Amino acid sequence: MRVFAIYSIKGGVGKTASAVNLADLAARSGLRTLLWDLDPQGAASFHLRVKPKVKGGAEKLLRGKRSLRHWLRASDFENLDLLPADFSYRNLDLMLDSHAKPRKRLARLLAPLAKHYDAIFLDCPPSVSLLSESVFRAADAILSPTIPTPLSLRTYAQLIKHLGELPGKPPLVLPFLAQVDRRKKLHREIHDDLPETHPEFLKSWIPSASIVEQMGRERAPLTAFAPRSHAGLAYAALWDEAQSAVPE
Amino acid sequence: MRGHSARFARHARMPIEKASPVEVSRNPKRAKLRRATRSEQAFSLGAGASPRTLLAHLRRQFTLRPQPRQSSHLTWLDTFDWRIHSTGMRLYVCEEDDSSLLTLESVTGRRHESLVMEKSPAFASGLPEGRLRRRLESLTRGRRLMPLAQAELTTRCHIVLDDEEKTVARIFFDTCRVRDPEATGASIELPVILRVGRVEGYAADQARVLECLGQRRGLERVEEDLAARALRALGRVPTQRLGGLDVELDPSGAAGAAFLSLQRGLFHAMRSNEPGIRKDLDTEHLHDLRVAVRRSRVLHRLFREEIRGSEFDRLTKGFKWLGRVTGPTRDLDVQLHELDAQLRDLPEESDALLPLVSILRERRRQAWEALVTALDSDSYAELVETAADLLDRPDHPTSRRLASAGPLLGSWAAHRIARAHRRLLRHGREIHPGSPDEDIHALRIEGKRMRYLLEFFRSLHPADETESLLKEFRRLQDNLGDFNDACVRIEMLRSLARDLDESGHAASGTLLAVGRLIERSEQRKAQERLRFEERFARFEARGTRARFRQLFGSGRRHEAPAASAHAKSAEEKVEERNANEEGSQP
Repeated sequence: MRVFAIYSIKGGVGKTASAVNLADLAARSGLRTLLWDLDPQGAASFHLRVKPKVKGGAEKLLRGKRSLRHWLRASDFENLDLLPADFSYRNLDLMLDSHAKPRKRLARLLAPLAKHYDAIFLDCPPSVSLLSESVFRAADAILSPTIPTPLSLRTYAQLIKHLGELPGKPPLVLPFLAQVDRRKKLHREIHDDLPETHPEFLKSWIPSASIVEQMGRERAPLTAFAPRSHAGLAYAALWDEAQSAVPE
Repeated sequence: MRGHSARFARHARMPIEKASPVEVSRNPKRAKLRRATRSEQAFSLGAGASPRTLLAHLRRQFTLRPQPRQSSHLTWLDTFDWRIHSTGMRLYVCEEDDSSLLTLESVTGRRHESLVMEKSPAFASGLPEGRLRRRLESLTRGRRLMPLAQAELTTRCHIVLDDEEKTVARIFFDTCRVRDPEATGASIELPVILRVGRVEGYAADQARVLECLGQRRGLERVEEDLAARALRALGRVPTQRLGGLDVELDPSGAAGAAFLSLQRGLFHAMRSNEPGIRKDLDTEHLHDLRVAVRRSRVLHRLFREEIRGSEFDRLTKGFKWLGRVTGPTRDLDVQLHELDAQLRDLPEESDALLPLVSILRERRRQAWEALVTALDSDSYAELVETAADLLDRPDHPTSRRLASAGPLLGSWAAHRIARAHRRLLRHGREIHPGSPDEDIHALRIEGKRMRYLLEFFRSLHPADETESLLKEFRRLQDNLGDFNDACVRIEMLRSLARDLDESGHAASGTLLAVGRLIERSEQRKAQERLRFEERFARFEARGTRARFRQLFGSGRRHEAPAASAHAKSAEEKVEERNANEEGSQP
C-alpha cells in the first residue's frame, strides 16, 4: 500500500483537483484506491457526490475502535472509495492533541487498510499544524502542487525547511507545477527555468484550464469525463511519474 | 447529466462485497434493519410482478436512472465429478462484446481469480502460469474441465440516486436462457430475477429499496446463485462422487446386504465412466473404472463364502476379464503421464525424448482402439446384462437370498479390518533392508486391500477417528506407492530403450536421455526404500496400533495367550493361500 498526501501550505493551488484526478487514475489502473477527504470544506467529497458526513464525527474516527472502513463510501467509479469529509475536521488538530503520540495517529489508523487498498490519497487542508505533521508521518510521498509564481515557490521553500526541522527522516516530497498559464510571461519564465532552479520538481505539469474548474459542475474526476483533454492527459502523465517515484 | 458512467451493470463483473456480519445494535429496530441487509439480494418474479410494474412502483419513492443493457454468454465448467463445485466454487467463462473472461469465484459471488482467455481451457494445465492455474490444478488434479451449462444472460441495470445524484444502490433485472452443451434440445428460459445490489457505505439505502419492494406481490426470495439455478433447470445435480462407495450401511444388517449395496454402487460407477472412455475425453475415466473393478474384485473375495456357487461367480470372472482388457491402455496413460512429469522437470531433455513420446502415443492409440472394441464385444454386453439383472432387480432370487445372508455386518466388518491390519503389520515386520522388491510390492497390495476395507465400511465407524487412522496409513501407502511407481517407471524405460535400440532408428541422444531418466528413477527408488523403515515404524507405533484395536478390535476370533504375536490363525492361512492362488494384483 502506498500513501500519497496532496499537500500545500497555500490554498487554491489545485490540491483537491489533483487528489481526485490522481485517485481516479490510480483506480482505473486497477489499484484498489481510497481517497480520504481531510479538508472540512469537503471539496473532494463534493466532486464525488458523497455527502460530507462522518457519523460520530472526527473524534469517533480518531478513537480507532472501529476500522476506517466503517465510514467509507464507494464512489461511482470502479476501484475508488472515499472517506468523506466532515465539518468536525476543522478541530482535527485539537482532537489529535488529546491522543497519545498524535503525530503517529493517522499512520496507525491507516495501517490496517493495507489489506484492502493498494493506494491511499489524502486530500489535506492548507495549514501547518499537528494534522499536517500527522499526514507527513503517514505518507510515503507528499505531492505538492505549486503555482509558478515567486510567492508560491517561497511557500514551497518554507515547506521544505519545515520538513527538515521535524524529527525523524523527512518524507519524500514530489513537487509539481500546477495551474500553469504559459501565456503569462512570469509563468513561462519560471517554468522554463525550473530544471535549473528547482531540479527536484517533477517534469509533469498541470495547465491552467477551465475544464479543470468544470469538475465542480460535472462532479466527477476530470480524468473520467474528459480524459483526452490537455489537462486530463497532464494528470495522467503526473500519475505515471509520481507512482514511479514511490516504490511499492 | 454527464459524469455518470455505466459501471457494475454486468452480472459477471459486479463487485459483490462480502456479506457484512450481523451487527449488534443497542437499538433493536436498527438491528433488525442491519440483519436484513446483505451485499446483494435476489428475487424471482412470479405472477403479478414484472420489471415495468416494479420500476414504476420504485419510481414513486426513488430516483432511478437506466443503464445500457448488457448481454453476455456464460459457460460453467467443472470436472466430470464436480470437484470445483464440491468446494463451494464456480468456474465460468463470460463472453461479452469481444472479450472472454475466465473467472473462479465462490458460491457467494466473491471473486477469487480472473483471466482473459481466448477460449475455454480443457485442462487447468492449459492456462498460463499464475494463481488461477495453480488454484485450478489443485482443485481438478488433472481432470478435464467440461462445460456443464451455458446461458445467454441479459441484464438491465437501474441505478438508484440520492439527492446528490450519487449512486446509492443498484437494481438489476436478469433474463436468462440456459442450455445443456451436450444436448441438442432447445434452451430453457429461467424466471426473471431481480437483484438489489448494495453500494459500500449505503446499506440503509439498499434496505429502503428492499422495504419498498417488500410491499409488492409476486416476488419470491432466491438464495441460489445463477449457476445453481441453471444447473437445476437442466436437471444436472452436483454430487460428490466417492467412486460408488457413498452408501450408508446398516451395522445391524446382514453382510450380504452390504455386499449388494457396495457392488451396486461400484457397478454404477463403472458404467458412468464408460461414455468418457469411449469419447476419450479424460484419462481419469479409465482410471476410475479400473478402481471400481479392483474394488469389486476385493469385494468378491471378501464375500466369497456368501456368493460362492451363485450367478455372482459370472461377475467375478467378468471383472477379472475387464481388469485385463483395460490394463494396457491404463499402463500407457500412466507411462505418458510419467514421461510428461519427467520432461517438466528436465525441459532440456524434451527434444531428445520426443521419439519416445511418439512411440508411446501411437501405442496408446492402438490400445485404446482395442479397449473400445472390447467394450463393444459380447463379453462386455453379457457382463453388463448380468450385473444389471443381479443388482438392479430387487426380485432376483439370488439377490433376495443374499440380502439376508452372512453374519451381522458391524462386528464382522470390524473383525475383517482388524485382521487385515494384523496381516499388514506381520508382513511389514518381515521386511528388512535386504528383502527383495517383490516383498515391498506384496506389502503394498496388502495395504491396498486394507484401504478398500476401510473405504467399504467407512459409514460404520466414527468419521473423525477413521480419518485420523487413514492419515497414518496413507503415509505408509504413499511410500510404498512411490517405490512401486519408480520400479514401474524403470521397467518401462528399459523396455522402451530396448525397443528403440532394436528398431535401429533411435538417435544416440534419445538413448542417452532415456539412460538419464532411468538413473533418476533408480535414485528415487533407493530413496523410497530407505524411507520405508521410518514410515512403517510410525504406522506400527504403539499409539496407532492401540487406536486400530480400539476401533476395530484385535482381529482374533479366539484370544490365544500362548500364541506368538507373529503367528497366523488357520483362517488367515487359508485366506493367504486363496490370495496367492489369485495370482494377480487386485
